[in-house]
Amino acid sequence: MTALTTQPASRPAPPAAPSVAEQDAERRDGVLAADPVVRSALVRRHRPRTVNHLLTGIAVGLWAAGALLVALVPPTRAFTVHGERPALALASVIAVGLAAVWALAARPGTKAGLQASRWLGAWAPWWITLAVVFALWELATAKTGALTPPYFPPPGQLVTEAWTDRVLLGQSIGNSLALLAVGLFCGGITGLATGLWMGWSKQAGYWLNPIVRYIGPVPTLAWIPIVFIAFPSSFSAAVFLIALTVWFPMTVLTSAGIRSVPRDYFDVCQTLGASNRFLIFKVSLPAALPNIFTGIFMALPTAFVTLTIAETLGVNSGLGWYINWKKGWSAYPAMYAAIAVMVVLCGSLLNLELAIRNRVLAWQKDLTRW
Amino acid sequence: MVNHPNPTPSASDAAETTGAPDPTGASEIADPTGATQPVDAALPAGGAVDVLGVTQAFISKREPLPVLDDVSLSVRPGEFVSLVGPSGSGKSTLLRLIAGLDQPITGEVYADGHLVTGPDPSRGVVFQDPTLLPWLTVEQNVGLGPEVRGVADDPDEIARVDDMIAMVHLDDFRTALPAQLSGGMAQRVSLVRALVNRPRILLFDEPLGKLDALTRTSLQHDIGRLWASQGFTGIMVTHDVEEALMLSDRVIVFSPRPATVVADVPVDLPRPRAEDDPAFRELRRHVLGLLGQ
Repeated sequence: MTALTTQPASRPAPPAAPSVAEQDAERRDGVLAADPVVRSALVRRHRPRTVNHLLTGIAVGLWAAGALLVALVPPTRAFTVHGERPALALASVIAVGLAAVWALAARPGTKAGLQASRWLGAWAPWWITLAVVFALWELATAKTGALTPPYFPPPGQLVTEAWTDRVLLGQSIGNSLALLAVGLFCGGITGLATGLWMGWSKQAGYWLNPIVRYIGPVPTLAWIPIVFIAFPSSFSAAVFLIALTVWFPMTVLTSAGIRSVPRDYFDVCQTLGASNRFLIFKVSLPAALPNIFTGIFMALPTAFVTLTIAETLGVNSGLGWYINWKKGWSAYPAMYAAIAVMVVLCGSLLNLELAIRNRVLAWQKDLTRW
Repeated sequence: MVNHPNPTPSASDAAETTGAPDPTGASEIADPTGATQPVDAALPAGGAVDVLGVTQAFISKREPLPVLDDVSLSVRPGEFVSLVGPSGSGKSTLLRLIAGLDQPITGEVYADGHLVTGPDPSRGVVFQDPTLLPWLTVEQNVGLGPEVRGVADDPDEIARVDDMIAMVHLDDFRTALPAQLSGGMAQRVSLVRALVNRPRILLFDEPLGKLDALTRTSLQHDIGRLWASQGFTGIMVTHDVEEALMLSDRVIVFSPRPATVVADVPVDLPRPRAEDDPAFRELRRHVLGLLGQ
């Protein structure tokens, strides 16, 4: 074989620049992208929904009408606290606020104007629906008394009650959030670590799998008698319970995620010289992220359940405790106010998780946006 | 637990058997750019590969399945060699052994006279699928080699990554994610990702197998060009005889499974080669004949 001696000479010189065809394609690319006809057609096709003036007008008008309804129609005498002033304030603030955003959207040249326009385009139907619900609620309770007090308080009364009891309610929210944060953190980290370990090491999988499968599915309620005796404080007991419910889905989904990482990723990285450490933390972990986010998504609602149960049965603070306490005093409006706070809190946390997920997993092809 | 990754440790930190037998004696005399006269650091010398009596088998449906039957071959530094054979004949298995991703049942594989005990950055692999890490950009994928070696911040390495991306005309796609690339573009990225480490030996496992005809031709051209400019030793598994003849100094023909070496066909044609050259057509007929077609 003469290959060895002749090689340097026989190797063809690498071409320096892209081919003529490629250059031509690039030029035509530029011309087409700048073509006004192409541009305007694309804008028409892909424009996000902007403000619909009719729908926005109806929304603003309905909320203004709601405010007038509260102010002008005389209330029944069925309630001790009507909360007419907060209801009026609420409806007025919303009406004025929507009108302000509408005014902003009328000047779409600016960035804020465009954002306002898109926001109204997306959410105007919801504001109309809410205005109708508000008016019907107000009519059925404060104005006619068709729904029986005290089980059905008028909307303004919820605000009044929450405001009157703001110190205790605020403390309860703070305590609940602190407990949830500590529990989620401990359970999340432990679950992630257990899942990684189980997914990576056969030995760990052998010993941990039965434990995870038998301890994980046990309902929180069953542990309560033991846990509140075994732990030094009710706070640490509640943290343990929340962490336990978070730990289970996190472990199962993380380890499944690690074990489903394509073998090829490891082959490629190993031929590039990757260490085990790199394969675990820079390959397996990112590849398992879609699963891990599903784990967090499943863990959050069960954490809320456990939080409320723990607060009701052992921890004498927090929203769960507050709701029960108020129910014990038959203070239904305050109880409803606390439930409303809970709805907003849990919903916001879950939405936050999904927003982070959609952002972090943007690299996934055809990512399903939850 | 069967699909547990269980990676083998890197060969570089383990005890390597040195001074291995070299039946051809090739690596002693013929390393024009390497040990004797290190000319240009940016131009790595090609490494030698010696496969000695390798037999490999797997378990399939509880029965042993022999894949390689006493295969021996040598590749000289800087050579480009193609392995052709019927599909499923174990060519890719041999390539994995040379890469160090698997260990043979009997026999030894030597790279530059060192027994191969595990994967090493000096032996790069281009797989059939681009297998880019989908959460990294093109730039980060190409820079994976420096990253795993902990030298990603080295200005030389950064420049090297830039150069390699420019080599395959992907400058405009530096920050693109793999999901946004076409098949040919992704395979180009995986090609230069393997090259960033300046491997002495580059292994190709049917790198163009899943591409359309046009992209395939253009990538064939890229591979030839990179081989010419980077000086590595190339070993390519392919089932496309024409592709093998276009790129290689030698074509090694394998039998159906369990694979043995049927013939070692030198391709003494000047580059660039043309498919309609009578000598080329004659060689293709010869190799296809050896494959029983």
